[in-house]
Amino acid sequence: MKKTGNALLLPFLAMLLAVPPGLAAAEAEVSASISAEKIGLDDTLIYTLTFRNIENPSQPDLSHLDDFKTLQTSRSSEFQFNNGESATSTRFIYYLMPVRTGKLTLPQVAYRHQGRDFQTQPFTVEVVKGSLSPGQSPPVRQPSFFDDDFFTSPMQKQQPQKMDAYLRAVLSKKSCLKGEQLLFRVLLYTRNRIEAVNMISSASFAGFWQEWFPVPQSIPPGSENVNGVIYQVYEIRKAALFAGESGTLAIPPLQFELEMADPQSMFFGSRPIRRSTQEVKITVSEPPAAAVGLPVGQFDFSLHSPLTQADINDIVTLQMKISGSGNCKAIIPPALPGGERFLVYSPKITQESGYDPAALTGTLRAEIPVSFSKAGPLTFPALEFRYFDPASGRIVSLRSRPIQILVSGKKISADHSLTLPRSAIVQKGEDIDFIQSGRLHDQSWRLYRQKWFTALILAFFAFNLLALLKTVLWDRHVAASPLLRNRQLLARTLKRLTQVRHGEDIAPLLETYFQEKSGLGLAEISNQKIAETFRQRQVPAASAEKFLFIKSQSELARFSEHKKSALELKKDLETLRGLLKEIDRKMK
Amino acid sequence: MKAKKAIPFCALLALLAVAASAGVQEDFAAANRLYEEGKFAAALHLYQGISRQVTDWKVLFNIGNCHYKLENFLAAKIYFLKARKLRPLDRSISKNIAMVNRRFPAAAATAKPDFINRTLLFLESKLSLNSLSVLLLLALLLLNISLFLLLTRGRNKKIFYAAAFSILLVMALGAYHISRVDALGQSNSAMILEENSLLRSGPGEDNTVLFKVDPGLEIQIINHYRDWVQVTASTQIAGWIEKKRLARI
Repeated sequence: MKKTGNALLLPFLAMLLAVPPGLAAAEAEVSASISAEKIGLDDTLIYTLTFRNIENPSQPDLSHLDDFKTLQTSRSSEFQFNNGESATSTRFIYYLMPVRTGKLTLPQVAYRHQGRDFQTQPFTVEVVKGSLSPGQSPPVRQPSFFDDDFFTSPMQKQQPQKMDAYLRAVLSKKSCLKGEQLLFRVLLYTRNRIEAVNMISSASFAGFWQEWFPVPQSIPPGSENVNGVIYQVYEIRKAALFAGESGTLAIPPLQFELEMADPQSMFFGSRPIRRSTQEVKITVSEPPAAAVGLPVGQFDFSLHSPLTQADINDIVTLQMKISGSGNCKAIIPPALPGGERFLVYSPKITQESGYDPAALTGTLRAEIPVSFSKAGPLTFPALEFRYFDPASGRIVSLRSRPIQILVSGKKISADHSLTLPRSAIVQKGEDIDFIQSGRLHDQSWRLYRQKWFTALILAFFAFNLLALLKTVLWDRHVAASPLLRNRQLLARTLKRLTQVRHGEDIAPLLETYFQEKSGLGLAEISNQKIAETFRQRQVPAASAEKFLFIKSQSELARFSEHKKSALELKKDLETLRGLLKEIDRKMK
Repeated sequence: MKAKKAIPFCALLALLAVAASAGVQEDFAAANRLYEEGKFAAALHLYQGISRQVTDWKVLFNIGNCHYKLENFLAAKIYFLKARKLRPLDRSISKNIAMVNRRFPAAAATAKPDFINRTLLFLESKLSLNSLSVLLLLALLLLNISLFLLLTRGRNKKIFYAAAFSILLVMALGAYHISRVDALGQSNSAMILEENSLLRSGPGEDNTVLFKVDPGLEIQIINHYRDWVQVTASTQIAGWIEKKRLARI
């Protein structure tokens, strides 16, 4: 509040001592000056523009400068009265931050006043890496131009520095073996509130393989007493380092931009400041000759099979796991040698990193697909994994347990069988199936709609129906009836009579007719029996005699040389047909 | 003489049929090429011309594909369903219907067919109606032969069994043939076309609104009354809707 009061008071006093009329004014002049011709990239350059004997000059805009970033400006005014002459002076102070190294140019500033042009001289500033200001040890506080308030006159005495922050780089060990894990931490010591931390330097160190720990959302502070001053300590970055070469290796300074809360800002503003860590050196020595090429750290090793029984056609995936802290990414999993009874496929290897507070941990998983060529009990040999333990200084050898699998022809269910790792297949998109091609067939054409199809079906059904009728009705009921049988017998006999050409053929026909009609056996038939039967059936005697006469003549005709003429035979047959019809009526 | 005059006429008809068929095949190949070149609208135009001449599931399927690529998902679904009707249980058709159903959340409500319907669909997919007709004729022929032998050769046990088997076969095939022909004549499947379609308790605007259904929903028509149809989508969703809001499949 005091500084702000002073800042407001000065112009007010200047107004009270306003220039009386008639006082002569001195020559107008515009000049410029810089605080240093060589600065560090972390330093701030003060560029002062002085306007003498120019009333209320407007502030030149320097925001267009490419090589400098304007952090802050301030303005001050002076009034002098000397030997009857009045003199006014206005100063604009620019606090500039270089954005790159090299020889940078501050261009001339042009100003026009009452039709007259004024120009300042240009400046060349050499900017080098780091800071040219003395060290950043907290007790020795360096004046910072950020501490100046806006509108504060540089004529006033510098206020004590308000921003108190410095960085320290810490390594977990001062010496290590090649490949051994080191923990590198960047600690921020401050008494101010931090808004943001941004690492500007490259995060890669020559001679090391490193993995940076993820930056947490919030960093819990610790506290530390440094030379009687209590600081809050933040672990702003952490990395696991693995030296790749022996000798003395240096970790270069890392530059950070810290967004610190401004304790003097009325609006809870913040200011960016840059700080660097110190360079850290470490001595790296070679491990023992026997341990060259081995992983360095502490590890666990296991190999197991999810199945103890398998079908000969199955593929079993053996699971290998190596976990621990150390240079996990340098681990090469031991290979499973193939055998006569099984075939080993190339494994799928996945690695995961774990970020324990004390160390970087890692897990390597290898999925080894194995197929079988012979059935029976099968033992996979034990595998050996060796690493170098820097804590004990020994080479540790770990062996897996032998795996036994009973291979048989019995198929296990698909749910329990393991196949090649499916993660190898990644679906990238989806679309409808492609169009169909090939010959077209009119699917609206129907066979059953064709007329011939209907006719064929009807014909088949008609035949079936007739066959059914014949079998079920005709043969069983109609054809088997005595009436029809008699008629059939008469019709058959008459038909045969029409085919007779010789007189001797008549007798057998008549005997057959009588046999079927009377139901007698062939041996029983004689003229006497026929006459008796006719008498019983009341066949007229004349007809019976005629029947027997014709029959007898036919029998005698076989032995007679005299053959009847065709006319006589025809006459006999006609007579016989009439006789048969008459006899048939009587013998129903 | 009449037969001699009919021969050139029949030959001319056969030649015309072959020429027409060849033209359709060429158009189909040209449409496929257009599709492969990404000219979906032009391919669709050709396919639609072919579908007016030939009823083939491949043409309907490809029309559905064109509509899908042109983002006419409703039309695409209609054609995929029509293709499925001619070729049930085809994997490509089923997949494309599933793909297009993702555009219609309501479509997911369609119930899966039960075991009997699945079996019938499987039979339908494996045995075309024409093949079924041929099988029926063969079964009838077998029946007639066995009956003839039975009548002429008397009671032979083997022939009797053959006759009995052929009778059963003819009955089963005949019944299935009749049901297939009957199903062919009835097109009960339809799909909702318009947004915010309402299923009412009766045929008419005055009836109570029972459900609001979205486009893409497959339904079965169970009754008709003037310009309204009674539809059902599942055992729980049924109602009356105007015909114009549906597309028959």
